[in-house]
Amino acid sequence: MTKMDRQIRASIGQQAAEWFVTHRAGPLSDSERAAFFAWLKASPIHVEEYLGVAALERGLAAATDDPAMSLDALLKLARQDQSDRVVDLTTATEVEPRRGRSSNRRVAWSVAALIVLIVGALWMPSRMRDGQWWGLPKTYHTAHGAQAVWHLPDGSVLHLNTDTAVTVRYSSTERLVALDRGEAMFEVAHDSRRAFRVLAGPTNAVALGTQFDAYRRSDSTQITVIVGQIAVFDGSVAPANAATAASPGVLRVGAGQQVRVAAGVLPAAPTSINLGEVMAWLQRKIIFEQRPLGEVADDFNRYNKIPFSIDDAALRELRISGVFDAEDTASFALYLESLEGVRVARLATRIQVSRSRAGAHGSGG
Amino acid sequence: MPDPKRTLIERLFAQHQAALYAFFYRRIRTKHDAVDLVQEVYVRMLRVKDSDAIRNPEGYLYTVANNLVYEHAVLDKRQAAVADSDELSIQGELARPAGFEEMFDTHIHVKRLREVLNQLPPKCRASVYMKYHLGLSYEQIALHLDVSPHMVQKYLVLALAHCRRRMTGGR
Repeated sequence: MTKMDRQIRASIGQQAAEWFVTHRAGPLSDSERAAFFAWLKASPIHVEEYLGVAALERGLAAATDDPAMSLDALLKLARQDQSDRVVDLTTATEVEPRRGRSSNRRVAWSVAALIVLIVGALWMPSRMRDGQWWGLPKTYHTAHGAQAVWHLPDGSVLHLNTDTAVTVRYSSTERLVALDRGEAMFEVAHDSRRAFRVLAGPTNAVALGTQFDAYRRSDSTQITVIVGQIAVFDGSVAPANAATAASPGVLRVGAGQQVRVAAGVLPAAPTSINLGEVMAWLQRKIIFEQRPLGEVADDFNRYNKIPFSIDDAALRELRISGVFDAEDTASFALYLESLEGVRVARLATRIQVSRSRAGAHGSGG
Repeated sequence: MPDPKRTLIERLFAQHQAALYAFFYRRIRTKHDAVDLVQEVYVRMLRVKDSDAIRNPEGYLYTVANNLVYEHAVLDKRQAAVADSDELSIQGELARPAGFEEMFDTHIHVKRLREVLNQLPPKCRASVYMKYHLGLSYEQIALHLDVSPHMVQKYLVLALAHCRRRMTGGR
């Protein structure tokens, strides 16, 4: 959990450092200045990280005021180093930013993943002796605003977001999980004999050993793969065929990809997405990049007692970007208020978002 | 430091550094208070409806942050010493940024920062040294390292992001 939070922070810190260094290169152009302002407004965390990076400057002046450092020695080392390690270090540290040296970490990470997969396969038979989870459905749920983590008997892990219900039914041939409502992230333990199938309304997803997120919205189901690959299919396909065959009605979704199924219809192909945005809920954060305002407001409403209410259909489609704590409706309301043509009224039972007169057109009032 | 090379923003920032430091000192000491402060800075940034009117958003950000630090400092002093609330002496004390440095445990902070700098690749470390100790421009650093100024910016971004991450690694 905290690893995820660090990743969000690290990527925002990176953006902050880029802006900071750009500022020191000379005056920004008008469009850059507008982009920087928009970036600051998109999140309190952006503001915090920018100030944090800025405050480093003074510390760095003190830290480099060190008799042990000399320009000659540093330049000598720099010239000896022919590997351009700029990119390597960033990616490696983002995986596990806290411990040890960073250069070999990516390799270590993939070796670890390999071991987990093999060990997972060996464990499987002994874990199956626990008869208690054969066929008996069990329901897990969270209340409005709550989150929970459950460890399932096969070693899989179930993360439930706010207002979510999941029914788990294990048999000798498959592990079936019905997402009755809400959003869940699955860390699937590898089991080559029993597929892990998630049923979200008419949408099916089958996985062997992977991590993915399923979210039932009011009008669609969204499935995002974090690690590995899954097959997403509709009710016309027999589950037994879905995991193996590449048949019509089955969509293969890989890591970093997402499918949205509306009215039971699969899209032609998955889309690539920013995983940080989808996984942000594990940190109780809401991250959105050019997403419709109405959808983002719905996400906030899943956590909070006083909901955002937006009647204007065109306003619901307005694309917005930002990073917020899921409970921080006050900041989100202020953010909306700062948008041109948007008016926010804080009522006792709801936060009404509408177009201000200047921004309204065509509605006749 | 070669003064002509310094931009207006750098000079502005130099003026406000002490207060910004106090801002982050606070953040370490009483996290809750600092979270409120960041929130407040954010809210004030949002209140700017017409961002074109602000020629220097970065400077504006620092000014907002500083004003808040001062407001909170005044508030704290008032609460701490109601009996002895001489407005002038408070203002006088606030005008002296040197005091902030003593509040902050500079020695440990700098030592830690040196360790973090040592984790960086040599070209990054050399860039940091030339920028923050020698005050060279990106172009000058580029000549020393025989790379493009754009590459120097990349090294510095990496260094700053890395330091920021490591220095706040506890959370």
